Amino acid sequence: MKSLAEQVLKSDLHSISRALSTVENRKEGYLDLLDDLYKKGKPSRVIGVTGAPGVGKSTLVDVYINELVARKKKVAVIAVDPSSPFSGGAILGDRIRMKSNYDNVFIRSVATRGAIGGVSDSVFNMIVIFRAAGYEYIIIETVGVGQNEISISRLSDITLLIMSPGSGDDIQMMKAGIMETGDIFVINKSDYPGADEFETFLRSSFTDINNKIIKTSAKNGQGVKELVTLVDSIYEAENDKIKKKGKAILKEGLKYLLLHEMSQKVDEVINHASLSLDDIINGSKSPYSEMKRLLKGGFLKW
Amino acid sequence: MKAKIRVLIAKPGLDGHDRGAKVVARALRDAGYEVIYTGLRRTPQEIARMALEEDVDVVGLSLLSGAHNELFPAVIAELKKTGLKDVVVFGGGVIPEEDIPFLKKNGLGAIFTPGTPLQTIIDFIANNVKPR
Amino acid sequence: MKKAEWLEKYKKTLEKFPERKKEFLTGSATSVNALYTPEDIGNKIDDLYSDKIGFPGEFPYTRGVQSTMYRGRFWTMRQYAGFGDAEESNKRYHYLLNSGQTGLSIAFDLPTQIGYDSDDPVCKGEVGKVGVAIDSLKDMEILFKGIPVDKVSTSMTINAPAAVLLAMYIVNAEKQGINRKELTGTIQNDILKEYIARGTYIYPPAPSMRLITDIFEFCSKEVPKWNTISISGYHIREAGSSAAQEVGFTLADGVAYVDAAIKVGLGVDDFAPRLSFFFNSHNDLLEEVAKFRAARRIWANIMKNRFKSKDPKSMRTQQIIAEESGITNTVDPLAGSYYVEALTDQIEKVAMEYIQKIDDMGGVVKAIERGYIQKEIQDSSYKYQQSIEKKERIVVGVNKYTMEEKTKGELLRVNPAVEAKQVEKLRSVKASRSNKDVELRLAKIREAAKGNENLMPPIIDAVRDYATIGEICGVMREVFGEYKERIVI
Repeated sequence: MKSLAEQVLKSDLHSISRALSTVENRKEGYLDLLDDLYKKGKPSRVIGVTGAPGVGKSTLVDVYINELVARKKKVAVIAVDPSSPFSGGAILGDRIRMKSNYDNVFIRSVATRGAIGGVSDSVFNMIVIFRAAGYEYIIIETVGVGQNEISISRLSDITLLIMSPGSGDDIQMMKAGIMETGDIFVINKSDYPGADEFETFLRSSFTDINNKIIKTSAKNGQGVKELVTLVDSIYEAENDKIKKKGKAILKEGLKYLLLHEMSQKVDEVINHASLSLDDIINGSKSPYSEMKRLLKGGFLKW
Repeated sequence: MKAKIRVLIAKPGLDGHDRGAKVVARALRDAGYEVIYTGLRRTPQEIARMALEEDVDVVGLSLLSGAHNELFPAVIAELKKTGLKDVVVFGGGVIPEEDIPFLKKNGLGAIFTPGTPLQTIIDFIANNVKPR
Repeated sequence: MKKAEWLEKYKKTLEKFPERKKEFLTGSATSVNALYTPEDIGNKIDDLYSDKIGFPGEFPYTRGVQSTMYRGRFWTMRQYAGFGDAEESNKRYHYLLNSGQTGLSIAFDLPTQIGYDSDDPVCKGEVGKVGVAIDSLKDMEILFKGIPVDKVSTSMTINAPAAVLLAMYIVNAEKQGINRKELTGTIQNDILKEYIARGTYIYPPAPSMRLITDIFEFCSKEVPKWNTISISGYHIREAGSSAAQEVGFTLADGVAYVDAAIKVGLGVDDFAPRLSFFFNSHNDLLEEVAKFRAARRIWANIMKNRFKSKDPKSMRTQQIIAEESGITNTVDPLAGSYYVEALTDQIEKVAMEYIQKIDDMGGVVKAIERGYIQKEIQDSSYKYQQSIEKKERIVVGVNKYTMEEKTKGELLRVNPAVEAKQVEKLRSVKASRSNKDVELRLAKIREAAKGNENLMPPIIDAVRDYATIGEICGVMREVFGEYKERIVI
């Protein structure tokens, strides 16, 4: 692990890739690796990108990456896709629309693997790896309407909520409370009819978003330079807000780390010899009394 | 924790027929693998780069345009250049039987010609990928 | 219409277009009539029959595009051919024409289909493999050396750069002293199915549609005998769609093309007669028969009701039909079969639902952007594959009655030297032409692409000065951009 850590710090691509797998698969020693690399991580900007399918997220991320590369930045992208609840497998296709053969761009596809919260709980750990490898911008991209958006926003400094006029999904998102997760609302496909009306509608529905709506047309390359600049300006101008978010992110990350460890323990406890399902069935015990007993019984050790 | 097997399904060259690649991708997903599909018109360099970033265990190459003798070895060469020597590579598409020995000699672990049951491919991966 | 009335019309048609044979007989030498209707089994022809089934050669064309169908003549039988370089393919074409073929069907290699020159690095390994490599007019001249294009009809399976290949064909004819107004043939020119099923696209949908309508407009005036599009269902079916999807998506594409042409000011009756369709002939015979019948009927109704065509001649189709089974002895032999009529209605219903759904999305281009059509096809394709794996569907030789012995066929190997030869040819063409003129011609194309003028004339001019396909398509790539596929699995 030590040599792997060294190589990651040197930005060796193969090592970064293997380190990402190591933490994703929780291989022996992965926590030590992360502990080591966390301390040596360089500052980076973590930007979450979410939105309903079809709004042009991946295309937008591609153009965003190009702009960052033009500004001589190193960019990592974590593209999250859902795992099949039936087979546990996944098809990861977000990266196709992103050009990845730049030397200072690293794109990694990640499956949710049935994680609590909808997004892979490894994302937090992967960010640590990318930080250590010197990626100044880390973009986390996920599709969907629902859990994913909320989880992503909790791990990102700034969240871009991508929408497009007439997609019809805006109503869905408002119902699901997604809108609150976005720091910047990006109206993509702004060359389509209805873009201006949509912007008006957004401004009237949400009171606190005056300077946080921006129109883009990813496929025409319009508005993206402005978006990149806007994001950077928030880091510069609203540093307190970013710091505050940073604390919340740490809490969220810790929560995931703890939840994972605990869920392992729960699995052990459920299978503990002293748990008598027969007793519950014949009525002499209840699930609730058993739960209390197991919690107090000192079986949960770590 | 058991590591998931990650597979890159790639379309090298200019061939636009993706029915097979997509059917295989789906089947592998249903078998519990994580599949990254590259989309059309990938160069050997792009494929190797993706394999590197995604740290895949397996790369599957699909080609129906007859350019396999040039492009499959080119992909293998790029994979080696990137340092990925343990990756298992298989191919499929319109590939004559008589070309298979040459391709195998050049690093392909298997070639699955039309009519191959999907289970054969799934089993090949299960039997040839060393657990991490 | 009653049968007697139709027979009168039919007899008149025979005076101009006689049947293949004097008499058509069954295997047991019983005479076979041209057409059978309910009247032939003692029933009446009612409104239901007249409106939905009708007569061959009469609206809604369920029973056939022409009154005589295969009793009149078989379709032009073409062998899709082309490989290696133009010299080799030219030899092949002479051979085919000498063996009695009446038309040519050109297969181009992938670099040509995608608008690249043979020396482009992305073409490594692909030159001359799936068809002939054409980089410039020089190759076209070699390809058609000694072939009288005023007498031979040529079908070119080319889509994204169809304008360039058509331009080369026209200029080559010009050099042979043949007036473009005499040229007959087809270009496939169906870009929508490329996004859906075939994958050899270059530009995004909007500029691609513009190129297509430019070709419609240009040819309606300059090359009037040329079929400017072959709206294809073949590839959609090969990609795994069902029969109803094949019809629904292909006709939706047809609607998109007619819409586009009307939008740029073309009259529907000016270009509609030159629209042709290209469907698959798949395994389930009766379903396929029902499919063709449904397709004809739907399109006739679309042309008449949706586009108000004054002469809603139905679709002209290309497919290959068996010669020896006797099926071609009478027109639409399976009409009246409860199964076939019900299946025809069923396919029509499902296909119309797809067309409606696509309309609701705003048309085929929007549907493609959303990945809707691609997903439908992939779902069908995956289901099909699973049914084979589970042996719910038997494919003889694949999952049942398989043989261990390997059949050794004769393989055609494309000479790998073709690629090097083509690169050398390119160098020589570029050395012997006026590069200054080519620059000017390319600039004209760039200008036209940015504006609204028809692209055919400047492309023809560039082709004549030996601009390469990579150069011409490259200029358009600059202006139009490249299509990025929407991945749907």
